[in-house]
Parts: sequence; structure tokens; C-alpha cells
Amino acid sequence: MMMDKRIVISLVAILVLAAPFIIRSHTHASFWWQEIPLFYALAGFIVSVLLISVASGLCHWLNRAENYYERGDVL
Amino acid sequence: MIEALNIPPVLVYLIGAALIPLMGRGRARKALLVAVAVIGLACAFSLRSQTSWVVPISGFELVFLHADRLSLIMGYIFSFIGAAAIIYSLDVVRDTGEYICGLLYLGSALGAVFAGDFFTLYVFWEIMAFSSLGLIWYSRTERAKNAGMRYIIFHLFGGCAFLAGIIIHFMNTGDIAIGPVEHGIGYLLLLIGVGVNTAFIPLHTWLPDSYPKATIAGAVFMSVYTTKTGVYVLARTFPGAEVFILGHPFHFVAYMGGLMALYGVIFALMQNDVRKLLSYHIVSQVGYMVAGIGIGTAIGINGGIAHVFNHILYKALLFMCMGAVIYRTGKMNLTELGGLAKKMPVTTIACVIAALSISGVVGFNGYISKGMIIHAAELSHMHILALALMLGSVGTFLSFLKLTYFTFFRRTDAEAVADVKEAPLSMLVAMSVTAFFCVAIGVYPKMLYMILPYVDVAMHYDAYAPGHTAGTLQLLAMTAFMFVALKVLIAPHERVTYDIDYLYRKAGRGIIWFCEKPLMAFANAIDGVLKRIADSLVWFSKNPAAASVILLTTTSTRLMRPYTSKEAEVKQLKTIEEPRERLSIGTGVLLVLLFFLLYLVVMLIHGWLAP
Repeated sequence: MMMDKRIVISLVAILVLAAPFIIRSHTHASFWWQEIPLFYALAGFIVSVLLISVASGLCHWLNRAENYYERGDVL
Repeated sequence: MIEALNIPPVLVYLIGAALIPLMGRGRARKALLVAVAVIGLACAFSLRSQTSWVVPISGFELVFLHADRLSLIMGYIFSFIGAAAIIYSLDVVRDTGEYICGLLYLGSALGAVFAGDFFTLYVFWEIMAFSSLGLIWYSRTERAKNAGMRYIIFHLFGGCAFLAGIIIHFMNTGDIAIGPVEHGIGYLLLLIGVGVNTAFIPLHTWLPDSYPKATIAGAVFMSVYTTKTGVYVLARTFPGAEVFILGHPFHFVAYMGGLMALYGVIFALMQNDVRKLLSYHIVSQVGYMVAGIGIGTAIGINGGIAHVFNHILYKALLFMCMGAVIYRTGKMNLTELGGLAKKMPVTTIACVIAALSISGVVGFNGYISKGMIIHAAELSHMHILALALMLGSVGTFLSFLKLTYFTFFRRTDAEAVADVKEAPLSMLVAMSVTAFFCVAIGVYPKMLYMILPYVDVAMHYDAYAPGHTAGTLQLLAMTAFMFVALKVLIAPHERVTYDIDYLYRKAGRGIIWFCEKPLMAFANAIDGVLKRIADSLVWFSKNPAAASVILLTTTSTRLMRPYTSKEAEVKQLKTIEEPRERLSIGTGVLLVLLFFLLYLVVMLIHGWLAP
């Protein structure tokens, strides 16, 4: 069961990563960075790491106990 | 025959709201609600481009039905999701008042998008604010009461700015038809007024604050109308708006959209309350719409409005699913939920569809409109904006993976979810229909293109261009992989986060302190002084003659103090201890006459000085 899942996931991954090489885009790239192969996968990686670290970092800085605001006041 | 209908849809809902209290709480009420939903839908879909229902009131021409392509598409989606939300609430909502608020809210939103002039728009705008307040307060909890108060304070502020902007615009141009506004202070005020409703960053805090505290069905309504009416007004008055900063034009609205898209997802990633997470995603998604409209080109506005349409579908669907989860489990935090996929299969499927749609996965409706907006940003050479919107979609996918995983798929042995049943039938019907349209538009986008404001431009947009499709797939596949790898870091935890609202609360408390302490002390001081003056006047007027003698004596004694002996002073002051006589009536009359004389003299002098 576990092996099947892994095989499926890696197949999907290979297909997705290979897609830009199989499908040749005829649309003209708007920016130079779109011509880098696998740019979007790379971007996804970098951005995910960035967002997760920013979010978890901010979380440490901004968090308060769950009932912090519930003191019965409007403000 | 259907073609001939041109009733403003708002009327249907207002009449419905008026009739609801007569229907009791049983089948009759349900029948009426379904009838209102269906008639409202028929009304909106039978409208054609036109301007009618013009009512002249004291020199102003109020237009209650101004339909063009832009307002028609808003009318379609508003009435459609209104019908879905009404059906969703049939089994959940008990209070008649909540239905009335819901219908008023939905009706006034339709009134606002079909309004032809600023004053009509403003009136519906305020009805929306107050009726939606009802949807928060019907939760009947302390938190909801307080959050509702903060909500209405924010919206009254926005409404005042909006009205001031309208008045200034009217004074400058003499025109109240809705349209672009000239630059100046009125422009800024109107932008702030609209900005409150569209949740521009620093003005967004009412949204994640109040929506999680609304009632289950109320949140479904609220997720749709307030922000999207704001976006609609933005599209009417500020397409491609530029604000001059230090003399340079700056695409303020477009970049504000980019900022909202990013800010929303980052805060959404940190949330534990499911509806708060969704609320931050409203900020983020409205950011995409605002960006599209801020770009201001035909394809940008098309993208923004298409995103309004799609967003309403999947966001209402998400609020419906989470409402069903809260309804069945009574829990609203991710830490307390889990493993619901087997217990609520239909809700799970609907939620997954909505999550894939909002994340812009290929084949779902979010992909179409989000792609259109990013494409518009690329065409207008706003590279940073395009990048920000792309970053935003990664964050969206991350937080919806988080939401669906921790609600439905994570294994848990929490008691709250042990014996949960599937949601009631009315909820399931509403969710399934909405989910169907999410997929249908994704698969067959021409259905949406046909009703967009710039139909020619829309028909030329190829949503499934190979490069774009492959790029999106890569981006999202990598994001999913990163979620699996790093989900420990963004796992939910039992904490709440600050937002800018912390500063507002501080400032608000400061204002209350200022009013209660220094301002009250000042008022009390003035009050005391006036009271003493009044007291002494009363004392004096009791017997003016004796009083003046007393005053004279005391003053002269005080003045003479350095030159007289102590004994003489005591002797002098003793005289004023004498009981004062009352004056006779004659003296009183004399005094009155004297006053009249004085008055006469003053009048004569006045008349002489100023003929």
C-alpha cells in the first residue's frame, strides 16, 4: 500500500516536472525568468519555504493566549 | 414574456423580508424563503441592459435600476448565491430575525449593484452594514456582541468617508451618476470609504474579527456581499486608479491588491479558527480582484470581475462546508477537529473542490480568473505585482492543504468528532449545486466569458495555454510537496495572533480613557464654575440691595485690612450677619422696569449703529 502511494506520487512528480519539456509553449514569455527551465517548480519551492518560515516566525512574535481578547470589552 | 420583466431584484427580497414574520416558524416560512430565492433569481436573470425606475426626489434623479454588463454579472452571481445560501440556512436557522437580516442584506447588496446614482448606492450600502450586523449578533454570544460593535464602528467610519466623498464630488460636478471621480480630497475619501468595504490593508481588521463570530448561515451570506459590493464600486469609480505620491502617479489600487493578496495568506497560515482562516483568505482573494481592477485594462477588469464571480462560488462553498462542520461538531478550531472525511463524505468532497478552486488548480474555476489577472499584470508590465500574485497563490494552496488536511484527513481520537453525522439535506443540496458550478466554470470557461464586461477581450483569452497550465501545475505540485515536508511548522496551535487591530484597540481604549478622565475632569470643572456663578446670582437676586451692601462691606473690609485693627474688622464684619429684609413688591417692579429701560436703550443703540 505504502509502496503504491510512493510510486504514484513519484510518477506524478516526474510527469509534472517533465511537462514543460514535452509541451513546447508557443506563447512568448513575458519575463526573462520564465525561460528558465522548471522555473515554476523552483519558484514553488522557494516561495513555500519563504511563506512557511515567515508565517511560523510571525506566529512566534504575534501570538497570544486564546482568550486574550475575550475580556468582555468591546475594545 | 420573461423578457418584459424589469423589476429591481432588491424589491423581491425586501417584500420577502417584510412577509417572513407573518409565516410562523414552520413549513410556510420555508416555502416563502424558497419562493423568494427563486423569484429573486428569475428577476435578476431576466434583466436586460437598461436604465429605469428613475425617481426624481427634490431635484435629484435617483436611479434604482441601472443595468449594464458590469452590474448584470454581479446581479447574476449575487442572486444565485443568495438562493444557495437561503436553501443552506433552511434547516439551521431558527430565528425569524436572522432570516430578515439575511434577506435585507442580500436585497440591499443587489440594490447597491443596480443603483444608478451615488445616493441610492449609499443608502443600500448602509442598509447592508446594519443588516449584516444582525447576522453577527444573532450568534447571541458575548464575543459576537463585542465583535459586532467593532464591525459597525468600522463600517460607520467607512460610510461617513464614503458619504463625504460623494458630497464633495457632487459639489464639484453637480452630478450624482456613478462613475469615475475627479482627483482631490473627495477622491481620497471615497477611496477610503470603498477601501473599508474591500478590506484594504490597515482597514481590513473588521473582516477576520467579525466573520468567525457570525452565525453559521450568516457567515455564508457575509462572505459574499460586503467585500464584493466594494469591489464592484471600485470597478465603477476607480478602474486603473492612480494616486499621486510626491507628484508621481502610482497605481495605488493595483499594488494594494498585491499587498492584500500576500498579507491575507500569511495571516491565514497562522490561524486555528477555521472561519478566521477563511476570512483572511477573503482579504487575500479580494486582493486579486482589487489588483485586476487597479490594473485598469479591459482584461484586468475582466479578470477582476471574473474573480469576483468565481470567488463568490468557492468562498461561499467553503463557508458552507465549515459551517456544516461547526454545526455538527460544535468545534471551530483546527486543533479540535480531524478525521471527518469518513463521517461527512459529501461535505469533504465539496470542501476539497472549493479548496482546489480557490488555490487555482488547473481545471477549477479559480484557475481561470486568477490566470486572467496575472496575465493582465504581465501585459501591463507590472512585474512585481505579477510576482506577488503568484506568491499569493502558493500561500493559498498551502493554507487550504492545511485546512482540509487538519479538518478532514488527519487521524484524531478527539471526542468531539467521534460520532458525527453528515450535514442536513438542505446544506448538502446548497453545497452540491455550488460545487458543481465551481467545476463547470473551470471545465467550460466560455460560460463565464459570455457574461464578462468586455466580452470580446474575454473570448480571446486562452485559459489553458500550455505554458501557463504546465507552470501552474509545477508550482502547485511543488507547493503540495513542501506542505507534506514542512507541515509540522504550520500545524495549528491553540493561540490567537495579533493583527493591526491590536493598535486600533489600543487607540480605541486611549480615546475612551481620554474621554473618561481628562475630558470629564475638564467638563466637571466648567460645570462647577457655572454652578457657583449661578448660586451666587441666586443669592444676589434674593435681595439685591442687602446683597450689594454685604458685598461692599466685605470687599472694603478686605481692602482696608492692612490699615485697620483686628477688632475693627470683626466689628465691621458683624454687621453683615444681620438678617436681610425682603424687598417690597414695589421695588421688584421698579427693578423690572429698570431692566426694560436698559433693554430699550440697548435696542435703540443697536438700531442706531446698524440701520
